[in-house]
Amino acid sequence: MANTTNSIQKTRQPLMDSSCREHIFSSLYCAISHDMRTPLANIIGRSLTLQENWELLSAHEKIGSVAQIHENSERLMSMVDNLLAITRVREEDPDIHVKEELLEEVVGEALEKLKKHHPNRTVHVKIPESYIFLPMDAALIEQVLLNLLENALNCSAETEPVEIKIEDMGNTVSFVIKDYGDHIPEDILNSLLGSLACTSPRTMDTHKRSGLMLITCKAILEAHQGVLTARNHSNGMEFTFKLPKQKEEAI
Amino acid sequence: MNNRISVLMIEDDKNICSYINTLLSANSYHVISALTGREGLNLAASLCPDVILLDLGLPDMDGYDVLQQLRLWNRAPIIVVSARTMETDKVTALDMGADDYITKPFSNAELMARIRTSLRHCRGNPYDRIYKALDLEIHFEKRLIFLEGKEIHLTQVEYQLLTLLAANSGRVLTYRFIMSAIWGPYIDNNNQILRVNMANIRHKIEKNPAQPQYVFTEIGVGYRMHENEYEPSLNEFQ
Repeated sequence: MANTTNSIQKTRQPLMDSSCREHIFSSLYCAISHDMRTPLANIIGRSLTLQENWELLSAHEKIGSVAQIHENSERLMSMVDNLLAITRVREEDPDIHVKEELLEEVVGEALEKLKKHHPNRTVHVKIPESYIFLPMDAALIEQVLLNLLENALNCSAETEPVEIKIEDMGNTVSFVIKDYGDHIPEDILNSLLGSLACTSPRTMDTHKRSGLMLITCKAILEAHQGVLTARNHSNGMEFTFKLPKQKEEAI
Repeated sequence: MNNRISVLMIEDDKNICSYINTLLSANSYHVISALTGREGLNLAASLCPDVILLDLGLPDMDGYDVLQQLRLWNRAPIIVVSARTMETDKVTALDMGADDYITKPFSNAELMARIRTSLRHCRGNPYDRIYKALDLEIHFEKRLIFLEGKEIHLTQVEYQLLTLLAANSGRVLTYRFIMSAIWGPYIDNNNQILRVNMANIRHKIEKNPAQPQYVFTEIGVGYRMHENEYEPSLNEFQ
């Protein structure tokens, strides 16, 4: 029986229910400890070595260390972006700006940004012939694309390409990102993307992909009524998500 | 004779100041620093720099106030330095008269490119008669566009859009600026008509519209076109 209390509750409902948010947080703590400690340890180690052994190191070693410090700092920067994105979507009143955006523009910008950090890598892009407008928060969906593409590039060899295929499915648009890199064991995958809480930070050490990036994608997509799925294929992994073409009707 | 180009940097973070100073000096620019807005305004007035880098987050004044005051009398290119994910800030600054923006942290290549572009567009360069980049060529006076040597046809609006971007190549143009230039200042805020036209242009000139080589989207801000690579020969100016 519809009544006014029900409709008031509906308008104030956050985009995620509390158990979903809980899961994201516990996974987050696991992911942060792994994903941030590794590059930080590298930066601390390398910079300390440079400070203490400057005269002993060759020019080549010095440049190599500085390059490593730079690369790991960029990785940390990307984590900050991810954490900010999660903060935006997790609120009771999420800071999300959904507008009709041109699919090819959002994808194009994400790919440009990717090229800055990975200038020599190949990304094959397939997008529908005719242009498509989709309701989305462009900055957040770009973060999803960047995360999935960066993850794919970081854990596959320099010579391997990454493929992104976008298809018009009628009511939704599907995005499939395929790479030729490491697998994530099924149980860890289920834990990252499913509704089970992540119980142990150790689980993150078994693969080179960034748990934090995947959790951020999941959080952003759920706020867009989208779902992230993944599967291992024989030579790598495939990540899929769909976005609806119609904005959810405001009640 | 010291004919180096002078850059006034209005930036309160000393680390960033020092780093930009090193970078620009290494590229033969003469750098002047100001740590506050007020100091920046004074130095701009007394030294007339060629380019101004303005950080929006200043300790003593609102960055926009500095921008507004500068633009009352100063016509040097102003490049605004902003933190990430502040699209509305960038758009506001651009619509208030800034020529371009750069987002922290930025690469050296990006900063140098922005400065070069801003100087190119303001130094009273003779009107570029030809735009050329990769496989695209635009002859402004003859109103012809060639892609891989073959002439391509755009609608009237598409042509105006592309030539506006090409005439300002390398610089970002906001949605509002473009809408106003093509459809007049009374057009409403919905920029869908612009984006549809840009999509049509993209589908005509780009091999893959999702991996553009010529026209780049800056979501929330506007569009930027590949820098003009045409070098006019000397006898064109005679």
